[in-house]
Amino acid sequence: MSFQAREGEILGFLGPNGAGKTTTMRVLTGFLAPTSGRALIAGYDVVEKPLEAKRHVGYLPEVVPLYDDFTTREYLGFVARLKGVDRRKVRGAVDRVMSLCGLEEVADRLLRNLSRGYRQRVGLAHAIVHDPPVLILDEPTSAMDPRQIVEIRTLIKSLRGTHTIILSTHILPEATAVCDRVIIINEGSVVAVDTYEQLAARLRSSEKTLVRVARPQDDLVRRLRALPGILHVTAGGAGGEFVVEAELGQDRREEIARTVVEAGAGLLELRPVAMSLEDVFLRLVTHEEPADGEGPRA
Amino acid sequence: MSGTLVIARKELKQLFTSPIAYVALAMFFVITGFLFFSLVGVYTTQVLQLQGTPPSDFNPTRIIFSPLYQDTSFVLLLLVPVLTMRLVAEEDRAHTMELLATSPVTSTAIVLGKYVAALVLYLVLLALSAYMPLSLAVIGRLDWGLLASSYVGLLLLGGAFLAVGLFASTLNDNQIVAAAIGFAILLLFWILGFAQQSSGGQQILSQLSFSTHFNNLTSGVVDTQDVLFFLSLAGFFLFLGVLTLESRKWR
Repeated sequence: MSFQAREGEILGFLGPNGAGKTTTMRVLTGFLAPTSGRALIAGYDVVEKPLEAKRHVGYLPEVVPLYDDFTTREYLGFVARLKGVDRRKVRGAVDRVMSLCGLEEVADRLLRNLSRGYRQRVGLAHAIVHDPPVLILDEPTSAMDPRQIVEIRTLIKSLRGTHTIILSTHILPEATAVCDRVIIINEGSVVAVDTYEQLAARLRSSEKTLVRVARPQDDLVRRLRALPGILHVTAGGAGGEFVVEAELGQDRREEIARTVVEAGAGLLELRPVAMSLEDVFLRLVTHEEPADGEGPRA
Repeated sequence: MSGTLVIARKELKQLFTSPIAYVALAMFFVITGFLFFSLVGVYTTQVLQLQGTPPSDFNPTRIIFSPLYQDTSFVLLLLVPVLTMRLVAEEDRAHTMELLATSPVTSTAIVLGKYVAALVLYLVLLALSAYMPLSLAVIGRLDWGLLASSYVGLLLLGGAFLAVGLFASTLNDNQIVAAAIGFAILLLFWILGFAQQSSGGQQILSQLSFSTHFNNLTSGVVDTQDVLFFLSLAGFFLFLGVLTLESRKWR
């Protein structure tokens, strides 16, 4: 697999379990050696210049590495010194990340007594304590409640521009919400790299419109199909739902609406079906067409 | 170098905040204290039997402390694997090895840092055990040369033991297994000198034994051969420890 993260962007790493997300991250951070190929962090080869490469990267592993018998402050201080922060600047660096990650109130608590959400935040803090230009985050929002997830995402987004961030996630909305570009990998190779919008556009084979009517008639399907540029009409769902597929690049909503109203079917709803990242993802990793008439997702 | 110190400092903090250091120290002092007490008893009986006419080679230090430190070495054989078992195994279990291995420190610095910390704990133990000769020095005259040579022996022996235990800890993420492996290696190196056959191979085997070299030091002979034996053994096992850490990247 081959990919490149641009400076200052947030790159999302998507893939089913066992696709090789964590392995890729471990190679980038020097925890595992690549059996073949090359990886460079900020221009330093991870095999030939491991110390330089490691100095430029902050890494939050899937399981947050914490020493249970340390307090938050002691732990972050240790990590800062370990990462080579100048001894006089350690205290300032620790204070900075504690306020950034909202850890002041647990500064002197033992790590063993922290909730999972706080542990995850300490994990994020430890990854950025030496202010690395490259950040690698393996599922940074796992085990957090929705409010904390929003906070962490805001925090990650605030690092955009100054830091190059690679984050892996299995939560698809997260990738849409946070990442500039996504990489979809499957079975150890890159399936697609692009912005989510372009990926969705590339995979779209037709313009889908969902129509819901109050009084479905057999006639309606035939009349819709007769419209110019319409490829396919599928009746689906109990509530009088139809998915109308038009040729790519043709917006036929106006004609569809007119046809439905003229047929007296009682138009209740009409909206374009956008391809969610889940659809993109599924289509890419399973090589299957998603079931026809699939509705839009939240 | 600074990485080694950072890790050593962290290890020391962990060693002294966990109960293991105190349990180990307590165990050590109960056993050696009892040995010391009974050896002083043996000495008293001998003095009474001699009726004040000691032979020229009669040396209280030799009667009390040579056997005491011989026995101490055996206590260390059991104790050191317990002290070292968590050094790397615990990092694996808590997934903190991922932090150390992705930090800008070499595997050598990780191993050395842990070794230095274990060595500091061991030095504390040795320093505290000096109460035994010092308490007798108040009431009698001791052979300081013999004592110094014994302590050099204990220091070298402990240094080699700790390196073996640290290596054992890199092999498995289970502390008990690490302790068992460490103990097995130490015991093997110890009993190499026990076998009594006088074949040519036995010469080589007993030269590889801890006990042969340690006995020289506790009898007051500081031979560079023995010093080098312990130092090279410690270096060899530390090197093996670094190798196991490095090899993990390739699995």
